[in-house]
Amino acid sequence: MNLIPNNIDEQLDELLREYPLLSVNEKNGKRISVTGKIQIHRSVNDYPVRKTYQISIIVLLGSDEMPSISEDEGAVSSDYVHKYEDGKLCLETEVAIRIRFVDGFNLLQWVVEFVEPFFVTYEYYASFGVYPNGERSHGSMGIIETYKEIFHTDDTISTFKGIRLICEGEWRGHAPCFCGSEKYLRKCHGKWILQFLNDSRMKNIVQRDYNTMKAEIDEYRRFTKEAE
Amino acid sequence: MVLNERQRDILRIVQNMDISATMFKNAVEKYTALAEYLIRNGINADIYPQGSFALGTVVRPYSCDEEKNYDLDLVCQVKYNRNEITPARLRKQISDVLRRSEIYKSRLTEDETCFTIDYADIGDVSFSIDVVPAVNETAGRIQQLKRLSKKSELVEYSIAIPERPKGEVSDWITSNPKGYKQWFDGINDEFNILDRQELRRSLFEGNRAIYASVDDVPKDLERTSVQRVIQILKYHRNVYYEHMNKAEEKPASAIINTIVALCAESTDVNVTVFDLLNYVLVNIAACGELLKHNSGDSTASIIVKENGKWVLENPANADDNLADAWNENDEIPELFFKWVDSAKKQLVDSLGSSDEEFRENIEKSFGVSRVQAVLGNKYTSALLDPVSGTSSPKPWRVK
Repeated sequence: MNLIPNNIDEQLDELLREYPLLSVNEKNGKRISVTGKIQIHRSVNDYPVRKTYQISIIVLLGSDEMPSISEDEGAVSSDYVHKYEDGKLCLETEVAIRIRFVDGFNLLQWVVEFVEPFFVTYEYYASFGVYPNGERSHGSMGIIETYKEIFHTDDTISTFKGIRLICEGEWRGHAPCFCGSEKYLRKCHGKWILQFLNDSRMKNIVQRDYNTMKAEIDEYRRFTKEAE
Repeated sequence: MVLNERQRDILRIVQNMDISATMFKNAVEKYTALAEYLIRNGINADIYPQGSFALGTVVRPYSCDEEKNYDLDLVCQVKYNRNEITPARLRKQISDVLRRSEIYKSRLTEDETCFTIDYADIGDVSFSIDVVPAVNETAGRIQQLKRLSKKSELVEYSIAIPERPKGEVSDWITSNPKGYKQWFDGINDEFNILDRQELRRSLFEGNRAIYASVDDVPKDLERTSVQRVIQILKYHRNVYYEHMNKAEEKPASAIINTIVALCAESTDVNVTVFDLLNYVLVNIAACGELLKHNSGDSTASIIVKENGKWVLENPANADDNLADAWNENDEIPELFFKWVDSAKKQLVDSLGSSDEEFRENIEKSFGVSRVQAVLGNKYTSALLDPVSGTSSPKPWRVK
């Protein structure tokens, strides 16, 4: 499945209208590169951020991979844990971004809703040493945290069970809820997972993460078995 | 001295963060009614406000998400002396009276040191009164304090309030809110009321529903440079420490009041708000050098270090070290001086910067929403679009 829709040229035009200091500096059948400056005029927790950043965005065509973004002038410190060694920025878990754009990726909205808040969060963190709206844990725990918010669950085990139900189970409204409450699924957490069971696009998003988690669990089991 | 436009705009924001005329009127009515109720029902006491309501330095509460409570502190100084009754017994006397009232019993919470009465939201903020039970201090204790004090004339007003218990038993501890007010007013009253006629006219025009004429505007809403500097620093402190998520470690208002008043004592009574603010911040910053030393004082000697301990003596109570908490947690003085540095950069140094930088600095000082409410889009080419808290993305890392 291709992430980037066919109207990428329209989306580029829209993006460059909104951010006139950006320009396309590479475009072929496989990838598009957009570089330049974006000016941020946002606030978070009543704190202002007015700053300009030099960025590069890479969009891969004919692929299911997310666009990547890097900040090119060191305005975001290389010590910041959400900036990789190659300068790329980790905006959010993929599941959060993919769910947002399940009806079709939109480059402009991605910048407005994910890129800008990343920089705003960074500036707040750099000033105060705290995240204004929290951060995700690294790796799979961060992914689980995202699903906890979506499923409205409190613990990791229930959340994983919800993911497994979506990927391997089927909807049975009178089955006990996966959270262990002894209520029926349809009267408990069922309403939060139904969208994934009814929409194959949403289910595919969860399946990716489930496959990754299963692989990690299998590796952990192999490791502990070898240790014994 | 004539203020420039930026300074006048900062003062407009400060006026906006002051207690509103409506809230002030409500607060006075509520605490007057509460005091009358207690006295009518057998609590033989002198009941009076302390803290910011007494000193004229109230600022609106600050929170990023919603308006918090205004807190009004009342002292209920019952005519016992401390040897005649225990804190627990006095608390019970007052509690019994309050719980007999249909008005107060449902709003009442209490702990070992005070009663809190919560009132429903009035306009856009909610309001509570903290009643601190108190008794007269003993003559012996007053004599003891007079020997320690540089201002013995203030010690006469000393009272005893419940100490926060360390075990099961609560004892009395000396306090002196009336003496403190006397000291503060002795300095503050020398200073001219800022723009008195203009302020009174503005309050009257904005509150015709409660004032029949300009003469009805209470003097308690007039402000001097001293009071305005305290308000600026208190609000800036609230915003800064809220953003740091360290609200519990912010300096007590008593520290700010005392430092500003001590600085004001040595300045011209016609000093502008901004010259006094600069003077205060430069003096406090100089004290920051003591972070590195075990003892000593700054050129202003407002905050000192004695044998490794931070000391800022309460002018009305020689036994009360306002900087006590600094000696229990090293982070507190470190954060304090970082805050002071931030206040100076944002409120003093930024007055000479570009329009956009000035706007950003006052937004960092007072919060984006308050500055926007008062100044609109002045000094900036773009108003800021907030990143929503509930749905905002959170940064991650694969591994």
